[in-house]
Amino acid sequence: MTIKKTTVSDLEAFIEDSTKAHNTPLSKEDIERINKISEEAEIEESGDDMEIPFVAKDNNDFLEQTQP
Amino acid sequence: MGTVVRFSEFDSYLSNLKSKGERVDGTILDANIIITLSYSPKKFHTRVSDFIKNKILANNMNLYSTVNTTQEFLEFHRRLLLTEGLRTAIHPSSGIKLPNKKKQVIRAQSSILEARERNNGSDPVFYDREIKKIRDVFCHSGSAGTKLWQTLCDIYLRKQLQIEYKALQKLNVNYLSSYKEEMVDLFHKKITWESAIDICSDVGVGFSDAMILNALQSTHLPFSISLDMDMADAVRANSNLKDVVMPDDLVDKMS
Repeated sequence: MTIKKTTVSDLEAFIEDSTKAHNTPLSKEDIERINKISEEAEIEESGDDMEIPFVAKDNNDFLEQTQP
Repeated sequence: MGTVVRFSEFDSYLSNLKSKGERVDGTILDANIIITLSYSPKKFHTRVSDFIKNKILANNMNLYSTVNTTQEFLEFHRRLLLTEGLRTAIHPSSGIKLPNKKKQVIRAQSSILEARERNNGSDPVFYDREIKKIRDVFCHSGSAGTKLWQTLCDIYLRKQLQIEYKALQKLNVNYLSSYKEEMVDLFHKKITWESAIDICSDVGVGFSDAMILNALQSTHLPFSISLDMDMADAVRANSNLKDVVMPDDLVDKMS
Protein backbone atom coordinates (compact mmCIF):
# COMPACT_ATOMS: atom_id res chain seq x y z
CA MET A 1 0.00 0.00 0.00
CA THR A 2 1.11 3.54 -0.68
CA ILE A 3 -0.03 6.85 0.75
CA LYS A 4 -3.18 7.98 -1.11
CA LYS A 5 -2.98 11.31 -2.91
CA THR A 6 -6.07 13.51 -3.19
CA THR A 7 -6.56 15.44 -6.43
CA VAL A 8 -8.86 18.41 -7.06
CA SER A 9 -11.18 16.10 -9.03
CA ASP A 10 -11.31 13.67 -6.04
CA LEU A 11 -12.39 16.59 -3.85
CA GLU A 12 -15.02 17.69 -6.36
CA ALA A 13 -16.32 14.12 -6.75
CA PHE A 14 -16.61 13.81 -2.97
CA ILE A 15 -18.61 17.05 -2.69
CA GLU A 16 -20.86 16.15 -5.62
CA ASP A 17 -21.57 12.57 -4.52
CA SER A 18 -22.17 13.55 -0.92
CA THR A 19 -24.78 16.08 -2.04
CA LYS A 20 -26.55 13.39 -4.11
CA ALA A 21 -27.56 11.47 -0.99
CA HIS A 22 -29.59 14.44 0.20
CA ASN A 23 -31.41 15.18 -3.01
CA THR A 24 -33.15 11.90 -3.67
CA PRO A 25 -36.93 12.40 -3.76
CA LEU A 26 -39.04 9.57 -2.41
CA SER A 27 -40.54 7.26 -5.01
CA LYS A 28 -44.30 6.68 -5.25
CA GLU A 29 -43.67 3.14 -3.97
CA ASP A 30 -41.82 4.44 -0.89
CA ILE A 31 -44.70 6.82 -0.06
CA GLU A 32 -47.24 4.00 -0.48
CA ARG A 33 -45.12 1.73 1.71
CA ILE A 34 -45.01 4.34 4.50
CA ASN A 35 -48.73 5.11 4.22
CA LYS A 36 -49.71 1.43 4.37
CA ILE A 37 -47.86 0.90 7.64
CA SER A 38 -49.05 4.30 8.90
CA GLU A 39 -52.64 3.06 8.63
CA GLU A 40 -51.82 0.08 10.87
CA ALA A 41 -49.99 2.39 13.29
CA GLU A 42 -52.96 4.80 13.31
CA ILE A 43 -55.29 1.96 14.38
CA GLU A 44 -52.78 0.92 17.04
CA GLU A 45 -52.51 4.55 18.20
CA SER A 46 -56.27 5.07 18.47
CA GLY A 47 -56.42 1.83 20.46
CA ASP A 48 -54.10 3.49 23.02
CA ASP A 49 -56.64 6.29 23.52
CA MET A 50 -59.54 3.97 24.33
CA GLU A 51 -60.28 3.70 28.02
CA ILE A 52 -60.23 0.19 29.34
CA PRO A 53 -63.76 -0.45 30.58
CA PHE A 54 -64.09 -1.31 34.25
CA VAL A 55 -65.26 -4.83 34.74
CA ALA A 56 -66.77 -5.54 38.14
CA LYS A 57 -65.57 -8.87 39.40
CA ASP A 58 -67.97 -8.90 42.30
CA ASN A 59 -70.51 -6.64 43.95
CA ASN A 60 -67.94 -4.95 46.22
CA ASP A 61 -65.88 -3.77 43.22
CA PHE A 62 -68.98 -2.15 41.78
CA LEU A 63 -69.76 -0.41 45.09
CA GLU A 64 -66.19 0.99 45.37
CA GLN A 65 -66.46 2.53 41.90
CA THR A 66 -69.83 4.16 42.44
CA GLN A 67 -69.17 5.58 45.92
CA PRO A 68 -68.20 9.30 45.99
CA MET B 1 5.23 25.96 17.87
CA GLY B 2 1.64 25.82 19.05
CA THR B 3 0.02 28.68 17.15
CA VAL B 4 -3.39 29.26 15.62
CA VAL B 5 -2.93 30.23 11.97
CA ARG B 6 -5.55 32.12 9.92
CA PHE B 7 -6.40 30.92 6.39
CA SER B 8 -5.24 34.35 5.14
CA GLU B 9 -1.81 33.91 6.77
CA PHE B 10 -1.25 30.43 5.36
CA ASP B 11 1.05 31.34 2.45
CA SER B 12 3.60 33.08 4.67
CA TYR B 13 3.19 30.36 7.34
CA LEU B 14 3.96 27.66 4.76
CA SER B 15 6.96 29.54 3.35
CA ASN B 16 8.27 29.92 6.88
CA LEU B 17 7.94 26.17 7.55
CA LYS B 18 9.70 25.35 4.30
CA SER B 19 12.50 27.84 4.96
CA LYS B 20 13.11 26.10 8.31
CA GLY B 21 13.45 22.81 6.43
CA GLU B 22 10.30 21.25 7.92
CA ARG B 23 8.52 18.46 6.08
CA VAL B 24 5.20 19.73 4.77
CA ASP B 25 3.90 16.74 2.86
CA GLY B 26 0.53 16.52 4.55
CA THR B 27 -1.98 17.73 7.10
CA ILE B 28 -4.54 16.23 9.47
CA LEU B 29 -8.16 17.19 8.81
CA ASP B 30 -10.55 17.47 11.72
CA ALA B 31 -13.85 15.62 11.06
CA ASN B 32 -15.69 18.97 11.01
CA ILE B 33 -13.65 19.99 7.92
CA ILE B 34 -14.69 16.83 6.06
CA ILE B 35 -18.32 17.26 7.16
CA THR B 36 -18.30 20.91 6.03
CA LEU B 37 -16.88 19.92 2.65
CA SER B 38 -19.66 17.36 2.25
CA TYR B 39 -22.54 19.67 3.09
CA SER B 40 -22.82 22.83 0.98
CA PRO B 41 -25.29 24.77 3.21
CA LYS B 42 -22.62 24.89 5.95
CA LYS B 43 -21.39 28.42 6.60
CA PHE B 44 -17.73 27.65 5.87
CA HIS B 45 -18.29 25.22 2.97
CA THR B 46 -16.96 27.42 0.17
CA ARG B 47 -14.09 28.85 2.19
CA VAL B 48 -12.94 25.41 3.34
CA SER B 49 -13.33 23.89 -0.09
CA ASP B 50 -11.33 26.72 -1.74
CA PHE B 51 -8.66 26.51 0.94
CA ILE B 52 -8.19 22.75 0.56
CA LYS B 53 -8.12 23.08 -3.23
CA ASN B 54 -5.88 26.15 -3.56
CA LYS B 55 -3.60 25.88 -0.54
CA ILE B 56 -3.37 22.20 0.43
CA LEU B 57 -3.81 20.17 -2.75
CA ALA B 58 -2.08 22.84 -4.88
CA ASN B 59 0.96 22.48 -2.58
CA ASN B 60 0.96 18.72 -3.12
CA MET B 61 0.03 17.86 0.47
CA ASN B 62 -1.70 14.59 1.40
CA LEU B 63 -4.81 14.48 3.56
CA TYR B 64 -4.73 12.52 6.81
CA SER B 65 -7.28 11.94 9.52
CA THR B 66 -7.84 9.84 12.61
CA VAL B 67 -10.00 6.71 12.59
CA ASN B 68 -12.82 8.58 14.39
CA THR B 69 -13.49 10.64 11.28
CA THR B 70 -15.63 8.08 9.45
CA GLN B 71 -17.78 7.60 12.55
CA GLU B 72 -18.22 11.37 13.04
CA PHE B 73 -18.94 11.89 9.33
CA LEU B 74 -21.58 9.13 9.18
CA GLU B 75 -23.08 10.27 12.48
CA PHE B 76 -23.60 13.81 11.14
CA HIS B 77 -25.23 12.49 7.97
CA ARG B 78 -27.43 10.06 9.96
CA ARG B 79 -28.85 12.99 11.93
CA LEU B 80 -29.11 15.23 8.85
CA LEU B 81 -30.86 12.60 6.71
CA LEU B 82 -33.32 11.75 9.48
CA THR B 83 -34.04 15.45 10.07
CA GLU B 84 -34.65 16.07 6.37
CA GLY B 85 -36.77 12.92 6.06
CA LEU B 86 -38.92 13.47 9.14
CA ARG B 87 -39.52 17.14 8.35
CA THR B 88 -40.55 16.16 4.82
CA ALA B 89 -42.85 13.45 6.16
CA ILE B 90 -44.97 15.97 8.08
CA HIS B 91 -45.12 18.46 5.22
CA PRO B 92 -48.64 18.61 3.69
CA SER B 93 -47.26 18.28 0.15
CA SER B 94 -45.27 15.10 0.88
CA GLY B 95 -48.18 12.72 0.30
CA ILE B 96 -47.20 10.93 3.52
CA LYS B 97 -49.96 10.40 6.08
CA LEU B 98 -48.37 9.67 9.43
CA PRO B 99 -50.55 8.94 12.49
CA ASN B 100 -51.42 12.04 14.54
CA LYS B 101 -49.26 11.42 17.63
CA LYS B 102 -46.25 10.70 15.44
CA LYS B 103 -46.80 13.90 13.47
CA GLN B 104 -47.19 15.86 16.71
CA VAL B 105 -43.87 14.72 18.16
CA ILE B 106 -42.00 15.48 14.92
CA ARG B 107 -43.69 18.89 14.78
CA ALA B 108 -42.76 19.65 18.41
CA GLN B 109 -39.09 18.75 17.89
CA SER B 110 -39.05 20.65 14.56
CA SER B 111 -40.27 23.81 16.33
CA ILE B 112 -37.39 23.54 18.81
CA LEU B 113 -34.98 23.06 15.91
CA GLU B 114 -36.43 26.01 13.97
CA ALA B 115 -35.96 28.27 17.00
CA ARG B 116 -32.35 27.09 17.28
CA GLU B 117 -31.75 27.81 13.58
CA ARG B 118 -33.34 31.24 13.89
CA ASN B 119 -31.68 32.32 17.13
CA ASN B 120 -28.25 30.69 16.94
CA GLY B 121 -27.78 30.06 13.22
CA SER B 122 -27.49 26.36 13.99
CA ASP B 123 -27.45 23.66 11.33
CA PRO B 124 -30.91 22.31 10.42
CA VAL B 125 -30.09 19.03 12.12
CA PHE B 126 -31.83 17.34 15.06
CA TYR B 127 -29.72 16.52 18.09
CA ASP B 128 -29.51 12.84 18.88
CA ARG B 129 -31.72 13.32 21.96
CA GLU B 130 -34.44 14.88 19.75
CA ILE B 131 -34.34 11.92 17.38
CA LYS B 132 -34.59 9.60 20.40
CA LYS B 133 -37.72 11.44 21.62
CA ILE B 134 -39.35 10.97 18.22
CA ARG B 135 -38.27 7.32 18.01
CA ASP B 136 -39.69 6.65 21.49
CA VAL B 137 -43.15 7.82 20.42
CA PHE B 138 -43.05 5.53 17.38
CA CYS B 139 -41.57 2.49 19.10
CA HIS B 140 -43.46 2.66 22.38
CA SER B 141 -46.87 2.69 20.71
CA GLY B 142 -46.72 -0.95 19.63
CA SER B 143 -45.51 -3.24 16.88
CA ALA B 144 -47.02 -1.22 14.01
CA GLY B 145 -45.40 1.98 15.34
CA THR B 146 -42.04 0.21 15.56
CA LYS B 147 -42.47 -1.18 12.04
CA LEU B 148 -43.29 2.34 10.79
CA TRP B 149 -40.12 3.76 12.37
CA GLN B 150 -38.03 0.93 10.84
CA THR B 151 -39.57 1.65 7.43
CA LEU B 152 -38.74 5.37 7.70
CA CYS B 153 -35.14 4.55 8.66
CA ASP B 154 -34.85 2.06 5.82
CA ILE B 155 -36.15 4.59 3.29
CA TYR B 156 -34.29 7.64 4.59
CA LEU B 157 -30.98 6.10 5.69
CA ARG B 158 -29.95 2.78 4.18
CA LYS B 159 -29.13 3.75 0.59
CA GLN B 160 -28.16 7.35 1.43
CA LEU B 161 -25.59 6.46 4.09
CA GLN B 162 -23.99 3.95 1.70
CA ILE B 163 -23.70 6.80 -0.84
CA GLU B 164 -22.12 9.04 1.82
CA TYR B 165 -19.63 6.34 2.78
CA LYS B 166 -18.65 5.75 -0.86
CA ALA B 167 -18.34 9.53 -1.38
CA LEU B 168 -15.98 9.76 1.60
CA GLN B 169 -13.76 7.07 0.10
CA LYS B 170 -13.40 9.20 -3.04
CA LEU B 171 -11.74 11.94 -0.97
CA ASN B 172 -8.74 9.61 -0.53
CA VAL B 173 -8.07 10.53 3.09
CA ASN B 174 -5.32 8.47 4.76
CA TYR B 175 -6.26 7.15 8.20
CA LEU B 176 -3.30 7.57 10.52
CA SER B 177 -1.85 4.43 12.02
CA SER B 178 1.70 3.75 13.11
CA TYR B 179 1.03 0.08 12.31
CA LYS B 180 0.54 0.70 8.59
CA GLU B 181 3.68 -0.11 6.63
CA GLU B 182 3.28 2.87 4.29
CA MET B 183 3.09 5.28 7.25
CA VAL B 184 6.11 4.11 9.24
CA ASP B 185 8.15 6.98 7.84
CA LEU B 186 5.53 9.49 9.00
CA PHE B 187 5.73 8.58 12.68
CA HIS B 188 8.54 9.31 15.13
CA LYS B 189 6.67 7.84 18.12
CA LYS B 190 3.64 5.69 18.85
CA ILE B 191 0.21 7.25 19.40
CA THR B 192 -0.78 6.46 22.99
CA TRP B 193 -3.85 7.02 25.13
CA GLU B 194 -1.62 8.36 27.92
CA SER B 195 -0.53 11.32 25.81
CA ALA B 196 -4.11 11.92 24.61
CA ILE B 197 -5.17 12.08 28.29
CA ASP B 198 -2.40 14.64 28.92
CA ILE B 199 -3.66 16.84 26.06
CA CYS B 200 -7.28 16.49 27.20
CA SER B 201 -6.29 17.46 30.74
CA ASP B 202 -4.81 20.84 29.67
CA VAL B 203 -8.13 22.54 28.91
CA GLY B 204 -10.58 19.64 28.92
CA VAL B 205 -10.94 19.23 25.13
CA GLY B 206 -12.92 16.24 23.86
CA PHE B 207 -11.03 13.09 22.98
CA SER B 208 -11.60 13.32 19.23
CA ASP B 209 -9.76 16.70 19.31
CA ALA B 210 -7.16 15.38 21.75
CA MET B 211 -6.50 12.43 19.44
CA ILE B 212 -5.91 14.72 16.44
CA LEU B 213 -3.43 16.86 18.42
CA ASN B 214 -1.89 13.69 19.82
CA ALA B 215 -1.52 12.21 16.32
CA LEU B 216 0.14 15.45 15.17
CA GLN B 217 2.66 15.18 18.03
CA SER B 218 3.52 11.61 17.00
CA THR B 219 4.11 12.41 13.33
CA HIS B 220 6.21 14.77 11.22
CA LEU B 221 3.01 16.56 10.07
CA PRO B 222 3.25 20.21 11.14
CA PHE B 223 -0.39 21.29 11.44
CA SER B 224 -4.03 20.29 11.43
CA ILE B 225 -7.03 22.10 9.93
CA SER B 226 -10.14 22.55 12.04
CA LEU B 227 -13.28 24.61 12.62
CA ASP B 228 -13.38 23.80 16.30
CA MET B 229 -12.46 26.58 18.71
CA ASP B 230 -11.63 23.92 21.32
CA MET B 231 -8.68 22.90 19.16
CA ALA B 232 -7.45 26.48 19.13
CA ASP B 233 -7.86 26.75 22.91
CA ALA B 234 -5.91 23.53 23.41
CA VAL B 235 -3.06 24.69 21.16
CA ARG B 236 -2.88 28.08 22.88
CA ALA B 237 -2.82 26.46 26.31
CA ASN B 238 0.14 24.21 25.58
CA SER B 239 3.11 25.61 23.69
CA ASN B 240 4.44 22.10 23.07
CA LEU B 241 1.55 21.29 20.77
CA LYS B 242 1.68 21.78 17.01
CA ASP B 243 -0.31 24.33 15.01
CA VAL B 244 -3.93 24.48 13.96
CA VAL B 245 -5.08 26.30 10.82
CA MET B 246 -8.57 27.86 10.86
CA PRO B 247 -10.76 30.32 8.90
CA ASP B 248 -10.11 33.97 9.82
CA ASP B 249 -13.66 34.54 11.19
CA LEU B 250 -13.20 31.89 13.83
CA VAL B 251 -9.79 33.14 14.93
CA ASP B 252 -11.15 36.71 15.11
CA LYS B 253 -14.02 35.52 17.31
CA MET B 254 -11.49 34.28 19.86
CA SER B 255 -9.44 37.46 19.95
